Amino acid sequence: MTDSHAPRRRNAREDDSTPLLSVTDLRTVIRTAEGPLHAVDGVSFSVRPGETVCIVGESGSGKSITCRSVTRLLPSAAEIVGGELTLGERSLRALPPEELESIRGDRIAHVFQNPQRSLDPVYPVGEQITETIRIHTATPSEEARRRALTLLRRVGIPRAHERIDDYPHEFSGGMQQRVAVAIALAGEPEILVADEPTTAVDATVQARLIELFRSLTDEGTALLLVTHDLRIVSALADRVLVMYAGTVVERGPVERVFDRPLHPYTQALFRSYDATADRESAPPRRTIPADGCRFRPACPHAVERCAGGDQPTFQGHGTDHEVSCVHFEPDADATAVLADARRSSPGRAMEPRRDGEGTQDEGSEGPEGPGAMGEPE
Amino acid sequence: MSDDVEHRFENIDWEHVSDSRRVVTTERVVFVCGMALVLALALYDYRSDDLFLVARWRPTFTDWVFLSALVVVMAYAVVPLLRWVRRHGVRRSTLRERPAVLAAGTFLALVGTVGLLSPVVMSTPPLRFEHAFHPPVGFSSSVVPTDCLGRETGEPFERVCHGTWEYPLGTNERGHPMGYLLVEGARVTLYIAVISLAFIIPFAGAVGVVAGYRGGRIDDLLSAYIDVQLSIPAIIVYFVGYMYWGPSILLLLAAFGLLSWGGLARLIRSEVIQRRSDGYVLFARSLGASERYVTAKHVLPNSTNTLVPSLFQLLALFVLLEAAVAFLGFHHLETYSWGATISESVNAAVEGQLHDRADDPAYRIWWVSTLPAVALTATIVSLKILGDGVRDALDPRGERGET
Amino acid sequence: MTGERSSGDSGTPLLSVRNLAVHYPITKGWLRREVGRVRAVDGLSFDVDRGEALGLVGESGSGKTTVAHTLCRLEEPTDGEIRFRGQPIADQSTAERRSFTRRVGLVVQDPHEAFNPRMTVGEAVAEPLVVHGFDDQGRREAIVADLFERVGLSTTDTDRFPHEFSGGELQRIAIARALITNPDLIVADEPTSALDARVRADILDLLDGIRREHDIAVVFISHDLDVVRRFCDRVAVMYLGEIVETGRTERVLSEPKHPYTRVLLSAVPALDPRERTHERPLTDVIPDPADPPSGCRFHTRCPAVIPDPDVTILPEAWRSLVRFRFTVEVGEIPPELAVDSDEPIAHDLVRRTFDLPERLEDETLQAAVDGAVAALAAGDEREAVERLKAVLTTPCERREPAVETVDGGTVRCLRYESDIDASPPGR
Repeated sequence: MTDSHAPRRRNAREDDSTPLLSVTDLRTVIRTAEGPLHAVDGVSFSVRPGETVCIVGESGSGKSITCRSVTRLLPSAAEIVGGELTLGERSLRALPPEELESIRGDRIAHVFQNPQRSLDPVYPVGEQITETIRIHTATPSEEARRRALTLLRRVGIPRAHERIDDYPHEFSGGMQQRVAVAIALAGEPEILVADEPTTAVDATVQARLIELFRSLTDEGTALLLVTHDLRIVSALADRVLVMYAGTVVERGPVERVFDRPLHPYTQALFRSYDATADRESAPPRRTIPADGCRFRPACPHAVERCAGGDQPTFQGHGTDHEVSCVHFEPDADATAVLADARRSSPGRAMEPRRDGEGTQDEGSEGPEGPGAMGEPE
Repeated sequence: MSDDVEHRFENIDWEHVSDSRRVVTTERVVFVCGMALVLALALYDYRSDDLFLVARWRPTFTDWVFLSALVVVMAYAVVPLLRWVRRHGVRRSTLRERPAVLAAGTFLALVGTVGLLSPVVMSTPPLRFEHAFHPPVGFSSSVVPTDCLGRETGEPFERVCHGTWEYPLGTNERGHPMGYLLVEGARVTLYIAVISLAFIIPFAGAVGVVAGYRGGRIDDLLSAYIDVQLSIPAIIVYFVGYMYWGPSILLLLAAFGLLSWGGLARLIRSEVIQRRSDGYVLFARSLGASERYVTAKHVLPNSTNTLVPSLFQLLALFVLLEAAVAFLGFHHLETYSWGATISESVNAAVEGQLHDRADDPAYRIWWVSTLPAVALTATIVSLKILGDGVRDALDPRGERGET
Repeated sequence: MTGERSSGDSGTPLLSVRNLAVHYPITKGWLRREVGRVRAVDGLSFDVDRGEALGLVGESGSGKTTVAHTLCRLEEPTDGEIRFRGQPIADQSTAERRSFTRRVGLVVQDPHEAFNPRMTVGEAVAEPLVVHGFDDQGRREAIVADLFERVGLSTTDTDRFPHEFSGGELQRIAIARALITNPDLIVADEPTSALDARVRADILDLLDGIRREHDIAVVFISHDLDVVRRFCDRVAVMYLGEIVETGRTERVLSEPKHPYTRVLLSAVPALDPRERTHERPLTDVIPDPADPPSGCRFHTRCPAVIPDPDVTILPEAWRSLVRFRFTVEVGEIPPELAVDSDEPIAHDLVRRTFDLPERLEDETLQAAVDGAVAALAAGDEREAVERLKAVLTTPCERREPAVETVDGGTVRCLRYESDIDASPPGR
């Protein structure tokens, strides 16, 4: 049996309804022994109801801090120093901690990479869900338990009625993550913020979680998903933000970004999925500058004007697709970068396979398959 | 063959690398030499007709036990520590930023040195009841010694004796100078610390490591044993021993020490179980490294964050226990530990206008209790502070909590 | 060069594993009475040639890490034999064992856990030399420094502590550490799973270069098919402690033979956002390795499970019926079919949820399915399972598949056996 989830035309996107969550010029600083680290440096995006926005980046890109900044679930050394966060009509930035707490779980819920850390080991999972339900709504305990059972079934826990009183350690890693999602859903949030939710789980479990997230967004829950894995982005995203060193370097609808990655960093990221591509190796993190275009030391197209000042301004390239790269500024020539875009698109590798039959498998570097394990130069 | 080529891993000639386990290590040299020395001294003392070994020191059996314990601590704690310091250096910033640790270390070093040297340089002062209860210099007291060496003031029936430089810290009821009593107390403390470090902690270590490493039935047995042992009240055992052999530090250490290492052993066991599956332990085991190597090189060094503070805590507990037992009076009369001295002030028989016992407030001879109490408190606090300091100094990741 | 690599017969594989089994007893009570066994690895056979990279692929619980540990002698096999350079490793003398541990290097999974935080990375890389009695400290340091440069780090890095490095750098150091004794075989347990894509690609390139330069065989354990595709010559797919398929990497990943391999491949999302379909296993529950399913261990999840000859229905109907059966059997009841109150559920809803055919040719089958639907609607899962089990029979449940040679590889599936009337899956 196959499930078809072709790229969806969000009704949300079409009618341009007001965004559910909008983040403008967010700046978060982490205090370290070596001075303040600009973990998030001017990030803007918005999420509409039922929409899936993916933030993709490597460790250290600030993607996790960005999504934790939304409900201020930040480590103690981190602090939001600028920008605006609004949920519906309300500004989250100025909200006192108590009110923020009532928003967490109720309107915005989090799912983290490591389910062990979000589950309390000393309470049965059912109790953790009913507790969350009853924090947010005055539900009689009988009713709450029934809801908890439904949620566990909803996220695909087999024999949920037998397992509702089990403790977290009695579940496997994949099952724990499903329980974590069930807890997140208990408050019926409008937006789910998931930070690498599938990184610690197996491929078949990941496929199930992806299906689960899809069915949630189909029902109108918005999803802000943070990941380093392009395959997850490809499977879930409506829109994607590519982050590098605290800045967004490229953003746009997922098909456009995958068809034509514009920013040299996005291109490098995509090429690392292709064994046959020429690649530059990732530079050590300490060499990353904190001004201008952060990617310039590793960028094959770097020029003088990449350095200094704020990051390059965003330039549109077709509908909704924007890139922060000096080569796309009106007075510059982007031909060389665009040429790389075509070479780096993973879609290019896909194409011969798309009309292919039978094996509807993952297929990535399809035509390069034999070379993939051959002799990389 | 150029240097460059020789220093490539492919060119190691493994045929000629023999499996030479080093037999001579610094630890072993120190241990063997130290033990030989102690044994020689003991033999000499036994054979010689001289009453004193050195100066005016007449070693007892406890002293010999202490000396051998000292050798063990030197060989298996101080030598590795010095080696570690030589290799990694001590971050001076850590010390500078934490004056408390520095102060605690200095204080304990002082207690140690004084305790170590006291039997050699000091001898028991004679009983001088006529000099009892001199206050410290700069203070005066209405409990006047029969023979007040300081300035005397006041009316004939309300005389006040002022402190004298003859007894800078005052005297107790037997006319022993407080300074001497404090130093004696330091010696007892040092004995307690060193003997338990050398002979009791290794029990905890061995049982914890074996239980954690082997697991299975051995772990079950050892854990069950620890549970049983922790439920035996050590003080009862001490009193029973006391009935037969009378009071002694060794008995105290045997009773309390051998019955209270269980907690530490449990801690070590759980650390071992945690580390056992860490990547570096797996790697070392895949090299065919022995259990002992893995434990000494990987498991224990990575357990210092939990073990070092609790080890110092245990030492502090032993010192405190000795003080408590001595305070209750179950100690050797000539062992002037701090606890014993504190109890003296409470139970002092003050002559003259005062009654026999402590119905007169003991504060009038406050120095007799306060000085050893301060020393005891400072020692306990210092042990805990130093424990934390050592833990942090050993951790290359710096302040804990950072990743 | 010492030229020792030329020793050993070129005909025998470097590593040869036969019927390897590693079971963990489940014990109970004070006397540790054995009440069951986790069959982490159960009857594994494979060969690795000199300089060859073999990928061991599987999900958690497949036993792949146990295989890695057993190859490094961190665990003793319950049964079976491992031969290294033609010699069984079980009865090595002490000297042989030392030589063996030197010739097999290990790279463990999480680079942040792979190093003793209290040792400098230089000491850590030199550790194998120390353990193997290489006493010349000066030369040891020179070798480590040389090796650091060759894995792309600076010689001055040797004095730093592990926490000062990123995951990618640590994994380079881990490779240096595995390499320093000049091994013939490196066992790499998920060496790149904790790394970002670009760093992962760098590490794979490094490992691949080293492997080719020094002709080192690699047993590469991974759940990531991208990585296996890029790095391995051959791949073995594991499921619940057994190898279900082996073959050349490009063949296995482009034309998977075993249904499990197909499911596994299909579960990895495509890099094309327009391509969002995938082949689903019948059920998602990975069975307990302490109590693996009878017959073919994958049959409870297999989309290509074979009907018995006397079950005569159309393939689509069969598929939805077995899905119905195993879904109920493992308890993956969807929320809309959950009976929490006394109110029964409409039979129609059950049929629609499982996409069951309205009418079946076979009378007994029809009766059984109707009964099962009714039982499930009334909340009696056990009854439903019993009814379905009686009619929806499959040889996969009863018969253990043999290892068949197909296309230069092996596959362990009844569909490839000559006396079973079923075609291979797909196509």
